[in-house]
Amino acid sequence: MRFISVKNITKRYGNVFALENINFEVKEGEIFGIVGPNGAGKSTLIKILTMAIKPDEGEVLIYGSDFKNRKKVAKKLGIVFQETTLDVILTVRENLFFHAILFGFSSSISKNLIKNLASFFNFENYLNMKISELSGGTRRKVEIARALLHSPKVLVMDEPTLGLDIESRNQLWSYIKELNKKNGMTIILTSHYLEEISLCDRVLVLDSGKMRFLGSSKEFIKNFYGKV
Amino acid sequence: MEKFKITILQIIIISYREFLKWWRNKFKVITTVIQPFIWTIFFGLGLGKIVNINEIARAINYQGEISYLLFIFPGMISTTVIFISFNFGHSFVEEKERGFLRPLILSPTPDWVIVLGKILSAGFIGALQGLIVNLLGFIYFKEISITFLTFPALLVLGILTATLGIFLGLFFKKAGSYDILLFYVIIPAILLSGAYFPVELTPLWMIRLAQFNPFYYGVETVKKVFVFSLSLEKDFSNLKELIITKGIGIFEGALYTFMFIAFFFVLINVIIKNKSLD
Ligand SMILES: Nc1ncnc2c1ncn2[C@@H]1O[C@H](COP(=O)(O)OP(=O)(O)O)[C@@H](O)[C@H]1O
Ligand SMILES: [Mg+2]
Repeated sequence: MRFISVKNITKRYGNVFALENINFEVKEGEIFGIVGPNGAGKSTLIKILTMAIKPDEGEVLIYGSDFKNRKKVAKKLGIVFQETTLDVILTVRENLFFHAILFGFSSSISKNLIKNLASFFNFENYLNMKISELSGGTRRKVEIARALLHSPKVLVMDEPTLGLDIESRNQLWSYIKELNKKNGMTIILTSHYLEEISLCDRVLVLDSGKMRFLGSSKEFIKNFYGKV
Repeated sequence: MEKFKITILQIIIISYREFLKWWRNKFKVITTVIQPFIWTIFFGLGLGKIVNINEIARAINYQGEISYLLFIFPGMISTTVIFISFNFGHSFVEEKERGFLRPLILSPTPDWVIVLGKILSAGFIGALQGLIVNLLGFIYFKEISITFLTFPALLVLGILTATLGIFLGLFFKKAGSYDILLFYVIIPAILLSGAYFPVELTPLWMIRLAQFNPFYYGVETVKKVFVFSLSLEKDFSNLKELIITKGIGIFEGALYTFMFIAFFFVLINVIIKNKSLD
């Protein structure tokens, strides 16, 4: 069965084409990067890909499910949007616990899952703190931990490294590599840092809503930087 | 069975989350309780001097002593519940606007469970604040009544309002624009619910209009509960007869209200199925 396919996606906001005729497939087990400058349409593509919004034209299929059947594949996706969707007035533990219940776990299993993730991401000491009291880097970690709570097959992240210092960025990338290598998790992420391209297996380069390149990151680097 | 238990847990958790968010915002909790109390004093003691209470008593078929304050107090409490529960529609649009609904909508939890959880919490919080105002009124003006039926009646009204709020919220992109509804829909609907004057005293076309006003039934239920409580306080020995005579009216009001709730609840779920909430 086709894994993730994006077919002829077009999305307009007023007169602006946020996305125009986008086509690609993601392969199981790869790190797939969506790269482009600000306003390129990356976030719009992530929202459509995760079925948060409907495109004007075209369709997304995940394990054969379309927008109408998005609940069927919800468990397969872990999603981190660009803007935080954590409740800042609630604690880390509450945010994670509510999410686990939404994904159908019993309350005792949920507590275990939270314990494991907190130790994997090293934020056990912050579990009882409100999100509003955390640093940007820790918030990101919690947000990613939440997306991983239900052990998704695919992790989708919109600009996960945005606003992080070099150290946190490197740390995050090591997590990403580990999830990909050890658990065989497919990773889809966006970035506007060109240097992160080399960390992906394949990339889609977007500009002004249009596809500029689709292929392996090695190929991209050879074509665009090779001569340097 | 396991699935059923999880669904119940999910409804509780979604409600509880809303409740926590409200509870941690102490400023909001306190101000929303105080406001209607001030209104009541001004309305009840101010307007009470100029309205013809005998005419009102006749219109609502009430035998016995009644003051305007006593007449509008259930209306005041209903207004509190309606304002507060309706405001959750504002939060709903805001969550939509800022993408906070996405983690809910993109979870495997069925949409109806999410909607139900939100509606229940919004109704519950509205009713709770209404109850607090009722208690304050009970302490301050000795004539105000309160019984075991008060909270359920307020809850039904709160749930009705929250359902309408979320239904209307579906059509707004900006939380700021949603607030316009307060002046164009909610306040007119409250005025035409019998909260401040009996609808029976208005022109025929207004009476007809009121029959399509969901708040009319919700507020009516609350008012009937107050009359029931009053009669109960006066004569406790007649409980059985009271339940038969007054109880039926309460049940009828609640039933009509539930029909509106069910109608809009189904409508919300039909709309959500095919719409992107962004
Ligand atoms: N909700 C929206 N309303 C109007 N325009 C939008 C909306 N979301 C995105 N856009 C526009 O679509 C284009 C792509 O935006 P976006 O997908 O956020 O880009 P990126 O994530 O690559 O920075 C931009 O021109 C942006 O202004
Ligand atoms: Mg973006």
